[in-house]
Parts: sequence; structure tokens; C-alpha cells
Amino acid sequence: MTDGPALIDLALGLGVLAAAGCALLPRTRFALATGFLVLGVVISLVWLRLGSVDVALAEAALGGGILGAVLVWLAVRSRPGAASDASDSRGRADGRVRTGLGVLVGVVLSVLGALVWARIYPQIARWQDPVAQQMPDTGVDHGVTAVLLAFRAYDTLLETAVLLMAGVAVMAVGRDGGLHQARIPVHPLSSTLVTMARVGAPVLLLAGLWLLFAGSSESGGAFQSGSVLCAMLILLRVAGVPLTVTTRRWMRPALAVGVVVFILAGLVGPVTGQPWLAWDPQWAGTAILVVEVFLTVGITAGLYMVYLGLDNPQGAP
Amino acid sequence: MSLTQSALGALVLLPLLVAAVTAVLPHTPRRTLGVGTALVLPVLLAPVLWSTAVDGDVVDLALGGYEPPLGIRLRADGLSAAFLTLSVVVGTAITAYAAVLPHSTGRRIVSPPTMQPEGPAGPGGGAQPEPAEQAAPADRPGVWRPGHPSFWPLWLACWSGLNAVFLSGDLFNTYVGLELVGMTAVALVALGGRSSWQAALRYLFVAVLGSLLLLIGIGLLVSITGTLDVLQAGAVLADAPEETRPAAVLALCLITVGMCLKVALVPFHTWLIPAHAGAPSAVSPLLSALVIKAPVFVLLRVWLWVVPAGEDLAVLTVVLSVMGAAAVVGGSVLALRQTHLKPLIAYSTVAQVGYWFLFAAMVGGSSSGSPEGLPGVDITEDDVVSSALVGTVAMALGHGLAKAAMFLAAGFLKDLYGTDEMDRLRGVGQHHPGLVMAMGLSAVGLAGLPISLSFSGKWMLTTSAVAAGHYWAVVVIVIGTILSAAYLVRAIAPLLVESEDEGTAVEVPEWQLEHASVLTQLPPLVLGLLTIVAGFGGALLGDLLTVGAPW
Amino acid sequence: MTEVVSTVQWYLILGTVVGIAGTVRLMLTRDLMARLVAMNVVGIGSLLVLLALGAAAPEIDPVLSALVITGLVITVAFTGVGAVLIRRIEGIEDTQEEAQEDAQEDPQEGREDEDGGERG
Repeated sequence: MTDGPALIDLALGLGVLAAAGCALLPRTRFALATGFLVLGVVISLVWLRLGSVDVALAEAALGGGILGAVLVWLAVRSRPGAASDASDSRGRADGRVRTGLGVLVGVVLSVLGALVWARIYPQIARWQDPVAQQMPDTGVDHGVTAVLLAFRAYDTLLETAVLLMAGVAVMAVGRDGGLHQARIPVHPLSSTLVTMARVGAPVLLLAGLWLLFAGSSESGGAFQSGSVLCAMLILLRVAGVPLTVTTRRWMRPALAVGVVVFILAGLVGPVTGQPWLAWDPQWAGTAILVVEVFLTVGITAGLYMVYLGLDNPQGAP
Repeated sequence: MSLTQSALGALVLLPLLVAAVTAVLPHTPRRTLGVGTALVLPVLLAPVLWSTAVDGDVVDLALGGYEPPLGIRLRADGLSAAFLTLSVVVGTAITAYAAVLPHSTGRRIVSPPTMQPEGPAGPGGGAQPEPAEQAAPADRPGVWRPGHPSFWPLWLACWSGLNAVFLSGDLFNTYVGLELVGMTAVALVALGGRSSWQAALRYLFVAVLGSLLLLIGIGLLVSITGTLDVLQAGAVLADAPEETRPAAVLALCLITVGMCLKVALVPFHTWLIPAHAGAPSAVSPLLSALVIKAPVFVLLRVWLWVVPAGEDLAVLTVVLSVMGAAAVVGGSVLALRQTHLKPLIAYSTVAQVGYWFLFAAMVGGSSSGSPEGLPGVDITEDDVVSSALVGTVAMALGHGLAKAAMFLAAGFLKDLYGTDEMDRLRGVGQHHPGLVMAMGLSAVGLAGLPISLSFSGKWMLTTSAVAAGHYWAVVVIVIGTILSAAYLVRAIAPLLVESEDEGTAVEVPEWQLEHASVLTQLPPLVLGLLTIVAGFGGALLGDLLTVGAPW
Repeated sequence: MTEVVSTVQWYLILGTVVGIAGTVRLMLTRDLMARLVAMNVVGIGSLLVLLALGAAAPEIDPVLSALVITGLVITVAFTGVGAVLIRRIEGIEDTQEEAQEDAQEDPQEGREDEDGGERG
């Protein structure tokens, strides 16, 4: 067992399996949401174990934090009858056959998959040398940030556009252009929780900003920062801080600003006779920082819009 | 850094920029900007098309100045140019339609006005109704209004995503582009109001599952080739050692299954019917004509450019072509049984998807020498594949033009008469001669009758099938053509025949008929005409597809 | 090759099992939220496979990390939209009666509302 999985790998793996079971098997929605939260925590540890702090941070903030909030919200607000498979019109026996068949197919596929993986010999990527050589031109020191905002900035741009469009989609199924929900009063919570939320918000603000500016030299960046800042906004809303006017005025510009600034910054290239998204090494670092700040605004707004959209627009909870 | 190269990036980034800007603006400037974009995109396409079609050059651009494998390369070869042209032509026509008829873009919820409503809700739909909403209490139930301003940012971003997929020279970037298309397509379906939300959610699950399969496939390809660039990965795999072959085949299988989900190949087709039939009138044509072309494009790319053909793909090609044949026959039969116009057209899409997968048989047959192959025919393997490719692309493009026209016309009737039930629409064709003509022309294109583009496509595909010895494919094509002619006649004939029973006919107020101006009939008519005219371009398409071809 | 599986293969198998289990659940369940969670579990499985494939290198590859972050963000965006759609779909039943009132209140839109209601 020289190169085999260490004890910690085995333990983590079993943890992932157990948590996945908790996220898949329960019949109540609240248990599903909790199971998924646990899976998020365990998988963050796996990312750490595999050596990627950035992915672990993103998983904890996005997968654990924001998604957790959304799913728990969904579970809590559902009517009791909505969650059960028992209301399925098909007979129970039929359901059992389907489940059995599904599990059988799943097991067969898993075994096949495992057999194929045994014959896979991953190669070292060809971009390892170019990454090292071209890093100085990007103006940032952290590998992941350089990839996200310089080498593969185009991917990041389209990805931010996906998030922007998620915000637009949520608004589209809302009322009065989508921001009606911001006016729906929040249900009062216990005063202890409100105090905790008010104390927690500034901490999250600091953490979000730190993640944003640390990204150029260490792990962190726009996505992690945006989700922490969104968590702060959610806390403020839960604590009853009046954000209605601000939200209604600034939500749309904040959503769009990340993509707009990114494309305008990318336009500098064609204007000066270079390819799209090309920045002169002299000021590439500044350009990336500016783009990243506005991206963070856009990401925060997109995630917060999704959270706001969970309130049904007809008024009834 | 030539202008053509800049145009390559602008084809993706301009609509995206406008999409982001329109998300902030009220409705009327959204429309103006949307139409403006539709006017600029053909101008941007022109130099790219000129370089590929006339000069025979592949245009590429390393974004940010970072060459692959580190950076991302945009690359327009013949295949890209063909699909880009479809995207720009159909996109422009539908943008014009949506701008003229804003109520075709969906239904939105607004707070109830406290004062008496100010006359019939105009076609403009109005911007955000700020004054009315301030007077209305937030807890009063909302009311539905026709027209949805969110159409503009969503459609422009979808257009950008489509162009991104068609121009991408990078595997992972293809995934991101497809996700942009998927997200906006799901949201566009949801614009149809309450009745379409269920369909949108179902579409979302399918789209994400398909993308994740694609993602794993791409991850596998990276792990054996060490690069994400399409051409580099293809080159590495072409002389890859034997032991990496299983991984390449697995990657190909995963990507194929994922894309089959997204393109709704039988038996994964059930999500398509409610989504395409329930979407707003301006959205259905986009989904059928353009959105499902993106996964088709990805499949062609991966099968022909990345993973080399081999005998170990035989099972996969057989399965795919059988599923394709099942789709052609099954989709057509189901289309015949529909009572409503839009579901009928949606099932016709399911049937047409099947034709594109007959291609798999030619790829499989060409590599190993088909068991039924004719020894006497002097035709090389590459010829079989290349003519099958030209046929498939011609059919996909022909379908795009014809189906856009067909769905536009059907959606127009549904909006106007409040139903798309064929029995109730009897005889309405006399009010809309231009519309009926558009449907007739697109029916010729969909059935693949001579001289339409689909006819050229079927001809090429048949030639290729005969050369490879796959006579069954010819039978499928003939059966499909007869069935499609049958369901299209069933769709269009009632519009021309006056109902005998006066009671069942639908009545429309005179002012609404007047509203159905010539201008609104123009986009479907132009698309219908293009379906036929493009048939003369079949030979040009053949030349175009040799630019940057893998053989 | 003395050991049964290497570390990389262990995580690859893990990702596969998680992904397939999620897919099976996604196809079998009728509860919309269970499907949404299952979709996310499939996402986690795929990202695990992706990152494990890159873990063969002596140190983690920044490009692969960036790709996984991109995949994660996109999955979160889709999940958010899915959650909002689920809320709307399940809100329909609550507001069905109100919708009928709307139709009477607003005669111009009555036709379209009936149309929506029939299939809704």
C-alpha cells in the first residue's frame, strides 16, 4: 500500500458516501437540506485534501453557505404534503420495482465505471510550463486567479454572464419586473437572533473584502468573496435592516455592472490593435483588480437576487 | 490582429454586452437596443463568412494573446461559419418579430392598478409600471399582462451563448457557452407564465444533467491529452498510445449521452414537447431552430475533430443510428396524432432530430468497412463521412429556417385566436395569406421536398448511406419524408378550409385582425422563402464545410 | 501496482458512485426538491472526478481548480433558478382561486388567463 489511499482518504470517502446518502434518501425536505449541508462540509474537506484551497473556499461559501440557505429556506416554507413520494399516483409495488431497477442499474454502472478508472493513467497537463512562464505578464501572483482572470478570462466572463442571467431569470418569474419581493416584510425573528445577525454582518463584510483582495496573491477571489458578501446581505435582511429602497434602486445596475465592466475592459484590446481581453503587462494587474471588484458586485447581486426570488410574488408565504 | 479577428470576438461579446445593459433599462429602449444588435450582427458575420467561404481560410483568435493550451482560442472554420450564419439569420428575423409584436414575448405579473386600467393593454406592454404599483398594496394578488420585457436580456444573452458555442475552439469553453444557452433557454421557456414553469423546471434538470456528463467527458479528454484545445486534443488522440483508447471512448460516450439529452433524441425527448410547445410565440422558434443546434454542433465537433473513429465505436454508432431511426418514425407518428398546432410542430422537431443521428451510421461504417459495404463502389471512407456531414448540416440548417418560420406562424395564430387547436382554427387562413404561404414554404422545407435545403441534405445523406451500404437508412428517410408530408398537410389544410359548423369557428375582434399587420407576417415569410432559396446553396455549403475539415 | 487502488482511483470511484447515485435518485423521485438536491449531488460527483483526474500531478493544477470553480458556480446558479421555479410551481396551488378572480377583474386578459389556467 505504498501509493494507495491513506487512512484519511478512506475516512473522507466513507464520509462523502454517508453524507450523499443523507442528501439523497430522506423523505422529508428538511432532512434532505440538512444532508446536503453535511455533504457540502465533507466535500470541502475533500477539496482541501486534494490540495485545492480555492475550490474548498468556493465550496464552503457557495455550496455550503448560499445553497444551504436556499435549500433550507425551500424546505422550511414548503407545505407539509409537498415533500412525499407517497402521494405518487403509481402503486407502491410499482414504485418498489422502479427503485429496485434504478438501484441495480446504478450499481452496474458504478462497477463499470470503477473498472474503467482502473485503466486510466492521467497525464500531466501541457499548460504547466506556460502557466509558470506567463504568470509575470498577468500582474497577479496567485495561479488560480491568473487562470480565471487572465489566461481563461473569457470562460469567467461567460460564467459571470450565466450568474447574471440567473438573476434576470429569477426577476422574470417575479412581479413588477422582479423586485416586488424586496418589499415583502420579513417575518420577525427572536431578538437574540437579530442581535447575532447584526454582529455577524460586519464580520462577513470584512471576510468578503479580505477574500476579494487576497485573491491576487493567495487563495480567494471574486466568487468566494461575492458569496460571503451575499451571505451578509441575507443576514441583514433576516435581521430586519431596511434595505428595500437600496435594493430596488441598485439591484439591476449591480447585477449588470460586472459583465459590462468586464466586456468594456476586454474592448481595450481590439481598440489598441490587440486581441479581445488582452491587457498590457504594465497595467494588467490593475485591470484585473478593477474587473474583479465589479465582478464581485455582480456576483453578490446575482446570488442575493436568487435568495429574494424565493419569496412568492402573490403575497402569501 | 485583423478586423475579421475582432469581429469574431464581437459576435459573442456584443450581444452579451447589450444583454447586460438591457437588464437595467425599461422596456422600450430594450427593444431598440435589441433591434440595433440584430442589425449589427450580420455586419460582423460578413467578414467572417467572407474569409471562410470565399478565401477558404480558417479565422482564429487567441483571446487575451494567450495561445493554447494555456489560453482559449476562438476558431471559425466552415462548420462554425455555417451554424453562425443560421444563428444570425434566424436570430435577426425573430428579433424583428418580437420587436413588432411585444406580446409574443410572454406574460408577466404586475401589481393590480388601483385606478381604472387605461384602455386595452397596448402592444408596447409598457415599461415597469412604477406609478400604479406604488398605489397598490404589496399583498394584493398580481395580475397577468401580455408581453415580457425580460425577453430582451435573456434572448440576447442566449444569442451570445449560441455564437460562443459555434466559435469555440476550446472544450471547456464549449461547456460554459452551452450553460449560458441552457440557462437563458430555461428562463425563456418560463416567460410563458404559470403554465410553462413546470416545463421550464423539467428542462432545467435535463440541461444540467447533460452538461455535467459533458463536463466529465471533457475532464477525461484533458486527463489523457493534457490540453483543452479542440485541435490539439484531436492531434494528441490521433497518435495516442493504445492504453488511452478506453478513456477516449468513455469520454465520447459520456459526451454523446449528455448531448443527446440536450438535443432530445428519442428516448430522451419527453421534456421537449411541453417546453417548446408551451413557450411564448417568439421563444418556441428560437428553441427549436437554434438552441438544440448547439448540442448538435458539439457532437459533430467531438466525433469528427477530437476523438478519432475506430472499430470500438461500432456499438455506439449502431445504438445512435437506431435511436435516430426510432426518432424519425416515432416522432412523425406522434406528430400525426396531435390535435394542437404547437405540440404537432414540437413532435416534428423530435422527428427531425432523428435524421441528424443517422450520420452516426456513416461514421461507424466508414472506419471499419461496413459488413454490407459494396466492394465495387469506388468511394473512399472520407468521402462517405464528408458527404454525410454535408447532408446532416444541410438538414440541420434547413430545419432551423423552416422550423423558425413554422413556429412563428403557429405562435402568431395562437396569440391572435387564443387557441392553437386545429379544429377551432378552421378557415382562418383566409385572413392571413402571407402567413399561410410562409407555413406552406416551410412545410416544403421540413418535409424535404425538392428544391429546399433539406432536400439537398437528404440527397447527400442518402448518397452517403448507399455508398456505405446502409440501405436501411434510405428506407428511414423515405418513410420519414412521407410521414412528415402527412402531418404537415394535417397541420395546414384545416387553416384553408372553412368550418362547416359555424359554432365551432373562433371569432376575433376586427381591431385585432387589423393589428395583424403585414409587418408581423414578414419574418415568417422571409424565413419560409429562405428555406427554399437556400436549397440552391447546397453546393456552396459542401465547399464551405471543407474549410478546416478534419480530412 | 501492488495496491488495490491508488489514491486518485479511490477518489475517481468515489465521484462515480456519488454521481450515479444522484442520477438514479434524480430519475426516480417525483418530489421536486429531492430532484434539485439530487442534481447537486450529481454536480459534486462530477467535480470530484474532474479534480481527482488532476490530482495525479505532484501539486494541484491551477487550471483544473479554476475549471472546478467555474463548474461549481454554474451549478449553484442553476440550482438557484430551480429553487425559485419550485417555489412558483408550488405557489400555484395556493393562488389558484385568486387567479380566477383576476380573470374577472381584468376582462381584456381574461382570454389569456383561461388559456393559462387550462393547462396550469
